[in-house]
Amino acid sequence: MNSSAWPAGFPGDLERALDSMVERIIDQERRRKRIGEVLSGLGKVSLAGVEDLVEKSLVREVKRDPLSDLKVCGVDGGLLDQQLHGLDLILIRAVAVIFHYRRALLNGAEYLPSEFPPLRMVDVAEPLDAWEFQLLAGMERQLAELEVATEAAERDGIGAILLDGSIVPQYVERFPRSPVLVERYQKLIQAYTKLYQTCARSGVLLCGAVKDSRGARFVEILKRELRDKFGLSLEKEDFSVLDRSRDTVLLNHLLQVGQRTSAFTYAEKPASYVLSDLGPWAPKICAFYIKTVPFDRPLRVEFLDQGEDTAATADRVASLIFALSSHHDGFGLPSVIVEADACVRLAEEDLCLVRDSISDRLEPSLFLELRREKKPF
Amino acid sequence: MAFVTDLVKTNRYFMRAESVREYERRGSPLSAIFPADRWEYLVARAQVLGVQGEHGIERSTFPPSPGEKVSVAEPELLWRFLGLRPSGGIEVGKLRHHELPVQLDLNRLLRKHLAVLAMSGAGKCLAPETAVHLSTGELIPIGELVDGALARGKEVEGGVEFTRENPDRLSVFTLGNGFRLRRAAIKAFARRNFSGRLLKIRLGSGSWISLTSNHPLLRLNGKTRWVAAGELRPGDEIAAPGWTDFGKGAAAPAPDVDLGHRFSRLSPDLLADEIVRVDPVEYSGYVYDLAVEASDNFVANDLIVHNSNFAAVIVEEILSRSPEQGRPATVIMDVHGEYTGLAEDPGFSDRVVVLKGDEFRIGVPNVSLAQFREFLPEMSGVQARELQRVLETLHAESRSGRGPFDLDDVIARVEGGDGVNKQLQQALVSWLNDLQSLGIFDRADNPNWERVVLPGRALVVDLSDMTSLRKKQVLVAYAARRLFHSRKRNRVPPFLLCLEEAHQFCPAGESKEAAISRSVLEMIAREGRKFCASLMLISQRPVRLSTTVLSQANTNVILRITNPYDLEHIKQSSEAITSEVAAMISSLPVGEALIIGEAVNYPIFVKVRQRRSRGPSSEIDLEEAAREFERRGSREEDDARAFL
Repeated sequence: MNSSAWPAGFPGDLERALDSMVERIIDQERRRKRIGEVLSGLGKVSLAGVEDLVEKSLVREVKRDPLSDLKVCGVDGGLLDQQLHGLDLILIRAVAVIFHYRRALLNGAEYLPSEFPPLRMVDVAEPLDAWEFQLLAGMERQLAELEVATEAAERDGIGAILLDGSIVPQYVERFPRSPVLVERYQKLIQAYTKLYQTCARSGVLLCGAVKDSRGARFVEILKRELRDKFGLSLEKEDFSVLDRSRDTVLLNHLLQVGQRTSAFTYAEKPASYVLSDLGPWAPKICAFYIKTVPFDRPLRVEFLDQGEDTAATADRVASLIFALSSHHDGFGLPSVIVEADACVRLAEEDLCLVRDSISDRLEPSLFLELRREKKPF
Repeated sequence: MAFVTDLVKTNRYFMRAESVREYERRGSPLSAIFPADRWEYLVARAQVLGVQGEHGIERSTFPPSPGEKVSVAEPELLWRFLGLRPSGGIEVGKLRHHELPVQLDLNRLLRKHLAVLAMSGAGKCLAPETAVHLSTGELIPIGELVDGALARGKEVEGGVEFTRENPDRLSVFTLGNGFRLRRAAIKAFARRNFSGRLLKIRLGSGSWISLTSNHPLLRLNGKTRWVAAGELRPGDEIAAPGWTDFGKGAAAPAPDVDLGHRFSRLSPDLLADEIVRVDPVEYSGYVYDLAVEASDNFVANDLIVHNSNFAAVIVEEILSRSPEQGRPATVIMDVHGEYTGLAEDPGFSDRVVVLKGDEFRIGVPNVSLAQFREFLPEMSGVQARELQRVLETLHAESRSGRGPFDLDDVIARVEGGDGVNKQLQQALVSWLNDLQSLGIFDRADNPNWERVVLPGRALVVDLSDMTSLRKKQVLVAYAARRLFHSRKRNRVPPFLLCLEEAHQFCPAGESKEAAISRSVLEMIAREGRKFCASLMLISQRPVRLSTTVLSQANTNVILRITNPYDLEHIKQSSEAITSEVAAMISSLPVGEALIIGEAVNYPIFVKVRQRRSRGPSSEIDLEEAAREFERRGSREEDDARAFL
């Protein structure tokens, strides 16, 4: 981390701080590019035996799925929350959009529960702190998404389910002091497990497209393996830049459109803290990065490995994601998730409406707004 | 009750042009990638008109709640709200966007007079490169012409930039009677921004014109009539000037052309030119407009552009009423011969009498001194007293058995009189002789008004062959006064006097000498309602119509008017025409009218029905016109040969 401080009223210092930051970014990008070039040279080198990588080559070509006679489901949820005096409010809704493809063209669309998914209101009276409240709100949204995703997976003919975001609950803590969160978390684990089971039973591919991944596991693998096993001739400084690189930042210099990385296991140890509650499903969670369009960063894709051949599953998922995400040169997200996102997007006015309706039914003395919302000026 | 003033289509997938372009870059439409069609919504903006209360429609005092359900108004509610009649009224067409017949209450429509105001003579919505023939012979793009005029100063209203200044006294050619071209001064130059689709019409002669689809052109095949450009198809023939150097005043005919070719001669001034292609052209920018004096068309890109009118429908409706419904008589002063077809139509011929203008006679014994003073505004008090003396003498002799007298008798008695100054006497004689030269004065009236002005009947006075405006004004002044007095004495039924080109008969701002019929028409406008004597004023130049008369017309039927000069004049004469309504008038399509005022509770837009009777006699068949022209040519040649 770098920090720059400057006294108020000294724009010259600010200017210098900005210059310094830009120089640093340029330098890091240059080094990442060099690493990318070196990594490109490893295209044909077998990576067999590299721990955590599922496939033998670092970069793999992806074949675009023809999208013929296929149903693909995209799931997304919307969330708005507000802390009030003595009460916290959460508004959520989720939708599963099912695109029907015929001969590579969209032939129809279905929506679960409907194209106008109903709002669900959760009121929280328990005295959660602000962070716990944010966690709870996130869990409620995930629960809503998992519910519609499972309902979609139970339908006939669905080829794949794409979640907007990760396919695992990403909670490091286990909330020892908050029974409410523990209870919701348990429900969440059950919901994830149920979705995995349903998909596995019905042979539906389950994957998640992470819009703006902050993951760095792939870089970690590279750091470990490149120096130890391949002894690549990189300067020390070049290596050090990896410490400051997320996966997508580095891979933007490596992957070309239509390429993906080797799939890798989600966590170094299946029983690591994030996956520890998923039991037998933990080792089946894998991920890869794919470049779907020229002017967007690589997309992190997570998937549930349901069979013996993880590489084949990764190919199938990548092929589908590539076909669904390559329409817009600057925005490489699957179209079915774009549609789901548009359906569940909530406006601030929706929350105001609920809050005002509550206020209307209360005594005028029972103010709901926090003091920060009632500033006189 | 609310009036939908605007409709908007929206779709979340088409909010960002660059995203649409990007997704469609590979050739697939957005609908092949996203279910975009599903997210299209039609949004209406509505203006609240009133609320259905216990005592009928009441003024709304607060807006409806957001989210309240709306539904399309039922016919019964519309009738009640708009003040229409479910049956037995004057059916003029259908309510726009509803298939609801618009039947207006006869009493409300006519009792306080009616004005039918059509578009003034302006070729609207022309593309800037369209060439206009100035009467100097110069061809100039309309864009250049108007931009040049506006550069010297302009007014802006309702999105229209315009000027009435014409310091160079520019004039253009317009189409007059008998398909002859004549010069007319430009009264206003206007332009407005337009974004949409124009039509480019290409002709067999090589000419072309770009204009909006609702702009009318004179179609010649079949019956000659003005039709919207959007209705024209390849193979149709439209009018184009047939000059070579007409602009220099020579009026020389164009070289003869083969009739089998794509254009042929219609009159010495006009060619029929065949449309070979009609192409839509996307256009964004200014479109241009000229207002032309005393005309309703002008020549642009060698084509004639024009507009249409409405009033015949109302006449037909009145003629179709039963005695039980109450039938006023109708008298039509038909300047263009547009109503003579009524007498030839089997559906109306038994109720219509046509009187040619040259058969019209004014019975001198029926002309009062006041009327003589109207006809001869220059007359002094002394001369009037002398004329009064002569008239009284002649009336006395007539009553004693000498029989009716004529204008020659009056002139002879004035000449023989010795009570006045000789100079004044000579002047009076001269003026009377001048009146006599009009050839319309006789011993008795023709028609016999009490015999032809009958309930449910129409008298059409065909003035189409009459060129003298003064003569027409004298006729109209006499007829109007005669009718009004007869009505006051209950000798004729309630009547509707229809005045085509009403601005010719009650012009604004003209001297008494040039507006002989104005005062009597203003009198009927003011007092007619007490005696059920109604006026229907039809004008394509409302700006030239007397404001006194126009403001007494409590119902206005307004067809498309784009000229800001005319719009402003109408607005001044009617409080009901707000700026919003004026903006709507300027975008009215062909065949639609705005009805506003006494006849309706709220301004309504109506798709005017087709007239059932034959159109004007000038709607000639093209082939017949061509044959007649050739016949006339050969006759002239034969005559010339015989002479030689």
